Amino acid sequence: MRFHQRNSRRGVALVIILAFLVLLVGVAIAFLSRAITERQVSNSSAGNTKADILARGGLDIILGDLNQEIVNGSVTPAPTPTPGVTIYFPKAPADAVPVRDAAVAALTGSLAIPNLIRVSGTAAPSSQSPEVETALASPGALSTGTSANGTSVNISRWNAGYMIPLSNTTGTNFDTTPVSSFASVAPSWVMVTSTGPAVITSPTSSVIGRYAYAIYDEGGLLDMNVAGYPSSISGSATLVGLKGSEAMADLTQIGLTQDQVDTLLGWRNYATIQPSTGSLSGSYNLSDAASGSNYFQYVTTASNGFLTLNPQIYSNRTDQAFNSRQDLIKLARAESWSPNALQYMATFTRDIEQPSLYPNPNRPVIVSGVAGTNQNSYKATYAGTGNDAYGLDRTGTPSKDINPPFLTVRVTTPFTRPDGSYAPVGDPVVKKRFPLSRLALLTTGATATQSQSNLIYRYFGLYRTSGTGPWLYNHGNSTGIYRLSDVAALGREPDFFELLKAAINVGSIGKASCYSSNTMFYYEMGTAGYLQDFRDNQTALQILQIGANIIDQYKADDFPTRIQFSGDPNIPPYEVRGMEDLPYLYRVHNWIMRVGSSGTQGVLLFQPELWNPNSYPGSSAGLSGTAVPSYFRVRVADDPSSNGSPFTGLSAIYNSGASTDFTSSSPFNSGTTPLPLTFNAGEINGYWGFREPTLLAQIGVPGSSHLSGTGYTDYPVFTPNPNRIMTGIFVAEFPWTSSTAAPTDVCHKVTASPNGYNSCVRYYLQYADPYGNWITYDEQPFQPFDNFTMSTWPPTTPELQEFATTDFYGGARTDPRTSRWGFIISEYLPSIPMVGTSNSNNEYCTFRPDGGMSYGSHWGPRSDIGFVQGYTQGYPSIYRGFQHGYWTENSIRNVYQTPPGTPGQRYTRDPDGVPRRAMGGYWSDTANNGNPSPPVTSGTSSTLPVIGLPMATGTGYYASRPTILHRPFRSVAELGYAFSDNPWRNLDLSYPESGFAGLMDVFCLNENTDANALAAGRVDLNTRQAPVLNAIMSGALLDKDDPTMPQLSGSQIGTLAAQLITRTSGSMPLTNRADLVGSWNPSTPISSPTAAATALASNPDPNAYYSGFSADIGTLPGIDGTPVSLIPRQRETVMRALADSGTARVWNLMIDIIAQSGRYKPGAKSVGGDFVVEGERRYWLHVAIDRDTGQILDKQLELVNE
Amino acid sequence: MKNLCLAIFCILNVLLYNGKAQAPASSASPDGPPALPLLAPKLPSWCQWTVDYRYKTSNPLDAPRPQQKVVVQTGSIRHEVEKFERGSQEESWATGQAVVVKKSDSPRLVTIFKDSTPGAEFPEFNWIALSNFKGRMKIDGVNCLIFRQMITPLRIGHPELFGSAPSSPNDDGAFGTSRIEVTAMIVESSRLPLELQMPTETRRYTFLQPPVQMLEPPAEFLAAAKEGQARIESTTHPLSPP
Repeated sequence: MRFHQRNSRRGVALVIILAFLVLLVGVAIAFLSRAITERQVSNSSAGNTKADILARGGLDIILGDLNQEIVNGSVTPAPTPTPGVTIYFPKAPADAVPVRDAAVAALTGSLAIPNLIRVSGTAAPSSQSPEVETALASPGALSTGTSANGTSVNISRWNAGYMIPLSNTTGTNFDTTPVSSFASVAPSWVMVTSTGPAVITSPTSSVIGRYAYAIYDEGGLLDMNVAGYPSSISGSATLVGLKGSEAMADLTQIGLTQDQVDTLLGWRNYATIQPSTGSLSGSYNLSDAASGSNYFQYVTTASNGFLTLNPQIYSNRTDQAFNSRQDLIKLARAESWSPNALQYMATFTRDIEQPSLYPNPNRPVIVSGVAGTNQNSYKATYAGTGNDAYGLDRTGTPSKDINPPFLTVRVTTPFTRPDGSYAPVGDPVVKKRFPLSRLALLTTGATATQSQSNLIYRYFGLYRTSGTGPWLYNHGNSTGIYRLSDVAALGREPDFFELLKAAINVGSIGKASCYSSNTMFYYEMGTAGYLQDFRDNQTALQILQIGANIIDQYKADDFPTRIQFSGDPNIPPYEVRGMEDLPYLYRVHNWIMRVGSSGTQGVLLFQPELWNPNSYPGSSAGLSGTAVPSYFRVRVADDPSSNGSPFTGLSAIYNSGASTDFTSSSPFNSGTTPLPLTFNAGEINGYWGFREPTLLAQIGVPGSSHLSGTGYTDYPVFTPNPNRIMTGIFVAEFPWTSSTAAPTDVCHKVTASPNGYNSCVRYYLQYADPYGNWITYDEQPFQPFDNFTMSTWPPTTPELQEFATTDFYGGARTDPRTSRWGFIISEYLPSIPMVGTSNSNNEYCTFRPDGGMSYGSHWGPRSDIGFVQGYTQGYPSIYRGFQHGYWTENSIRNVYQTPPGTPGQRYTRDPDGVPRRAMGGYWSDTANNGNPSPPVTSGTSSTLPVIGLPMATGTGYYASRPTILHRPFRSVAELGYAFSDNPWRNLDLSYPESGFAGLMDVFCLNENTDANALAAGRVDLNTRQAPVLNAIMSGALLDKDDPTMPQLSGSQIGTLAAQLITRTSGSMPLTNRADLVGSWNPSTPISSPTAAATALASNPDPNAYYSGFSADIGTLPGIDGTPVSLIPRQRETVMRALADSGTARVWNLMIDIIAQSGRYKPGAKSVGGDFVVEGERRYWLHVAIDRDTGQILDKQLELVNE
Repeated sequence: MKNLCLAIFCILNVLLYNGKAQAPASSASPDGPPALPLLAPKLPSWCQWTVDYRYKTSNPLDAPRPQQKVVVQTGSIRHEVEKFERGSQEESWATGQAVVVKKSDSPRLVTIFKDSTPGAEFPEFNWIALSNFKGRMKIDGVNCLIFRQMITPLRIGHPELFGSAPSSPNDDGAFGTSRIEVTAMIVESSRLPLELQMPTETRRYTFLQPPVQMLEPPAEFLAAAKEGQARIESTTHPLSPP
């Protein structure tokens, strides 16, 4: 038994030992297992870390390449206006955008990938685009291939961001499979060795990893942190239709339903909108009016550039924003959006609210004229007139030019900007666009001190002590407006007028009516031509006038803003008055009649004709504006230039003699004579709005005007209207029969202005201000040199009639809104028909170029010099004339109404030799199918449409007229409504040759408080995504004055978007948002300003030199031939829709990069397939690169979690 | 007597202009086309001449027609007297840009302004060209170049419509269809006009000995010119250069 016990103990020990061994083995195995796992984890972590480093390094290389691409595509030498700053102006428009890979660009139709710019590839794009850096990817290393350890990046993975059109465009399961064409352009691996990226043809042990990437144009998409509006204002023509922000983009155009948009906005803008329904997790219904108005108010006044959230808190909640694209995709999944719509959406876009206008360095110079003290020498020798900038517009140093490249003008004297930021030496003088919202400061009764601490003075250079007086302009120069280069040294920002001066092509303003004859008489322009020409040539004055016109577009009332240079030495000063919805002097008639019951006396009267050419606002015939003048008068007095040679009235010649029998001796302008004409206008309750040219000739006419003045009863012998009481500005009476042979020797001829050329009178059109002061808002000197001769003998009418030779019946302006080019003598006034057949309000037709009214004044052979020299048909006479109607077109075409002989062209050139078209410019193209040949030699109002002609008469044509906003600007392109002071030309954005397109870049709507002037929510106008453009243009209001509130149709916006993409994807990408209007066509090489002038001299047609989307609009199907194509303000709807939502300066890119660390397996043979992946990292880098400086404005790195 | 006048005229022409700047730039074959310029581009700063008008019809117009114009120029001062039918006349004095005009039927002085741009003194001859050169002819013993063309009467009545540079009459279509035949006779040696013939009117140009004394405008003309110039300048000051 004992033996048995001992053996039993031995067995236990064995078991224990065995168990211990098992335990040891287990521990060892566990140790080994854990060690292996930890090694694997360690290796993996190290691999990912290596991949992260590779990805970030790869991004740096890509950004470096993009920067070099900018450098390569820019003019050399690149300006360096200050140390450390280089300005990169594109060599050609095509260089303004990132170069698209040729294979990508070749994909069209359903295979197109609009967002894709390029991928990491093996084919060097440099073969097509020398600007792009050499491709670094290795042949045979396609990223979609399988690695040695079985991993791959297939095309579905590449589309994790939904930037590529989906294969199944109608799917809802968020399958990322892209359109099949992507496989053909999928990225290849860039192999990274220990010394950096290298193109290898066979595996090498020096490879430590690889990366591949795709670059997308995120800037061409709608920023979902900004875009969209609630259903309560959906379709509203007056809110959404005015556009002005990407927030007014219609997201249903990119595939969302309006309910989905409401939910998006309810989540994103909850505190702003303050919805009455919905919750954080639920959907929202934003159909109530308050939500719409709250949202509208915010987005139209926001000054944060949409970079920060509205600080508003509502129900303990704030607004929200997408912080990453993956957030957007999550919401899209949660709300069951169409996944295909994600390709139109961005979450990170940046623009810089800073002008970068870059005038073409080879633009034509101002021709002829000599600046200096010799006043006469402004005259042109061949191509119209120069202006006072002749010889001064180009300095040889572009930054000092009148129209400089904005970015090259730098601060030379440091100062503190209005927003409190410091402007050191070298900072851009114009750091931010000028917000038009500042115009709100200039109310009718406002005053300002001449101090930089006063905002009005600081922003506008204006001051005054009385709210009823004119503003004085003096921002350091009491008789002029500084250039930007001058402002740079003054320690302040440029003001409104200085920016206008810098932005407006100086060659397009300052046009006067001189021509190449060597003689200038007062009477050549019918009035003080010398004085008028001298005034018109001065560009500063026109800039001041344009500024006033812009102010009065903004201002709600109808009291014109008056401005003058504080140091103006002229008598009277060159005061400008902003254009309002008021009647203006249009024509004057010098009227002689036999008066009284016995008819012993004759009388000479000046009868003014007034015209308010603006369109009806809605159905009201009264004047628009929240407050309007109602009591007006016209007075006439000796012009100051007549000092010493006053106008005395008339001389009369009687039938028997050749010499003057009677000369009035009383001074014309003494004491209270002559009496003015007083009248009412403007009230809504039926008083006359002077919407048609209206002659002030009869007491009480037009109806309700209460027109009063000196009255004269027709000599009753002459019927049919013996009882009419005529009136006018009284000049003088004269005996109807001579003193020597009465009563048989009847007056035969009357000559006004017996004082000859010296005498000049001045018309003043005035309104009574609330204090009873007569305020002049329009004036015009006029030399009433007139002869009147009895047309038949014995006389059959109470009036003397034009008879022959040098008889004039008065004068006429080309455009009643401006005195520019003066009152032109006109003998056709008596033949102008009344409006309608039984007009009791003395309304007369305009000089519109249809229906026989094109002559206006006189016709003649010259056109190229701009001003027709004329003579009366059939008998030689000398006076210059205008064909007023043609100046409403100013087209290079043969006119359809011509005098006997060869048809000619009727146009005028601007001071730089370019004949820029006027408001009716597209009308004439249509009248002849856009061709100058064959000439249209016939046509009447019954055979040719008059829509598009601003002189068109009748209620059906008011859309063609100018208009006044009377409210804040809702789009910077609404500046196109403002009058330029060139007859019948607004600050047009309708023609590629426009001299005003730069305004779209220099001005903006609201303040921008970002220190770096950044703003979110701007679409790259060079986008390839038509639905994005559709969304921006959708619902745009065509005509604010049309009570039916017409909007661009769906088919029209589709056509427009397609055309813009066609244009920008070709050789004409936009380099600046001003290019939307047009620019010098690079297909017309022009080597120098002189060459440009020479070319224009031989072929003046602007279509030969300028090209732009503004010209495309009217040619498109569905638009061609419709009023939209003919009426500038309807045509400019597209500009208003796109301008504020767009940019052409910043490259907003999303770089999708996948980096893998690893090595080649032993004995590897395949560059792509034998790579062992040890770690991987994927990033979406959202980056905004300033094309003009090459600087990265902002970026966001998004780690992609797959 | 007529021949004597012509002889004097020719002698004066030769004395005044032969070999001076106004002479043709080069000579040409007597039988070939004349060398350019066809018309003297400018006159000496001191000179005087007359223009005599002869009409073949009675005056159909209300306004009297000119009979004779006498022009005397010494440097920048120019005196013109133009006599009209029915005894009226206009006298003008030009000093620089200001031209003061006095009409016989008015006590007033009228000031107009011309710029100082040099231009042809005889723009009514601007239509002449080699294309309408018809040959040479000795007129009253003087070798003349003859030009003839159907032109619009405006080229004579209002040559300023056509600018200072010669232009082709073929471009006159826009002036209407009315045409008259005009013949110009230019003294070959001096390139100064001798005569302009039209269907109803002939103008004879006579160049006289240059004045020997500086012209002195009457005080009232000077005062008017000064006043006019001051008046213009008081109302038209240039603003700052842009």
